[in-house]
Amino acid sequence: MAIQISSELLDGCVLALLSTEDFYGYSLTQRLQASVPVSESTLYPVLRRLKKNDWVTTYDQPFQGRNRRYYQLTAAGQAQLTLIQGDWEQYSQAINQLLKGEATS
Amino acid sequence: MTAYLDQFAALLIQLAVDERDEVINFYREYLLDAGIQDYDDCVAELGTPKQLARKVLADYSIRFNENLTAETTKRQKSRAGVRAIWLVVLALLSTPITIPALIVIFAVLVAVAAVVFAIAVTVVALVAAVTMLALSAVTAGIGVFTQSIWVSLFYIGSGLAIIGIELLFLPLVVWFVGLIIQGVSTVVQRLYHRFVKRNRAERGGRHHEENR
Repeated sequence: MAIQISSELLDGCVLALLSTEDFYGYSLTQRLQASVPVSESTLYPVLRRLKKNDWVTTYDQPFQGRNRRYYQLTAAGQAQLTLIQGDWEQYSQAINQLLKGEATS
Repeated sequence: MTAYLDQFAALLIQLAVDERDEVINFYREYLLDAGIQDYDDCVAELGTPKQLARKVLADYSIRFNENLTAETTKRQKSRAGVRAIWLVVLALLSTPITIPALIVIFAVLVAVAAVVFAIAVTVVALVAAVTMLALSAVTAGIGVFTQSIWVSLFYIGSGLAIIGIELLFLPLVVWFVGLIIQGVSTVVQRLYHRFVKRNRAERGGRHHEENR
């Protein structure tokens, strides 16, 4: 796929995934890659940004003698997700119309 | 995997320690979960340590620089300034310019050197004088110790206070010296460029006349 996903959309996708369940880094990358083409190294900056904005929190859970860091959606993150969903609804409709040659001015 | 993460960590020297630990923990966990052990497999998954570091640092809006610490750059700058001055002097001595121009440049260089020397002497004298004052105050204080404890304590105290203030001002002096070196370096470089350009123009002019 030649179309690059923007960072706002990537934020939205990660928030949406986290709204269903808590993920740890590797599982989140796997899940995301199943749907959109993102590189393995892309996710850390995204998660860091989400955490800095208090849209996600983290907690550690022991796993085989080490810790796994899980990411969890916050209320602010849920609100942000709704915002991005609304934006995307508008944007995707406009693009769809343009791409299908249905745009009317 | 350890080698890969060590290299990666070394490239993140510009980050705060806790930030760096968080990044590295993230990727360590990632590689463990992915079951990747070999260095080459790590590179295949995440890119070379350099690529990964560049990506991470881009997010902190820090310019990626492989070997950089704040202190060395400052010292290197100063050293580069001194080297530039020498290069310009050597270049001037080796360029075939007319003798008047050479005399002017030489005079300017001598003047600049004299000013810098004067400033240096002033700074050294000032520091020496203040140190002497402080030391003599302390000595005087110890001298009158048997006669009057309070006078003695006053002298010793003010002497030590002066030394303390001097130490506080030391970084300022160092900074000032660095500033002077850089300033002189810029002036000398500008001087060189001006004369060399004029010199080339002259040569070009003469060349045209010869052609006619």
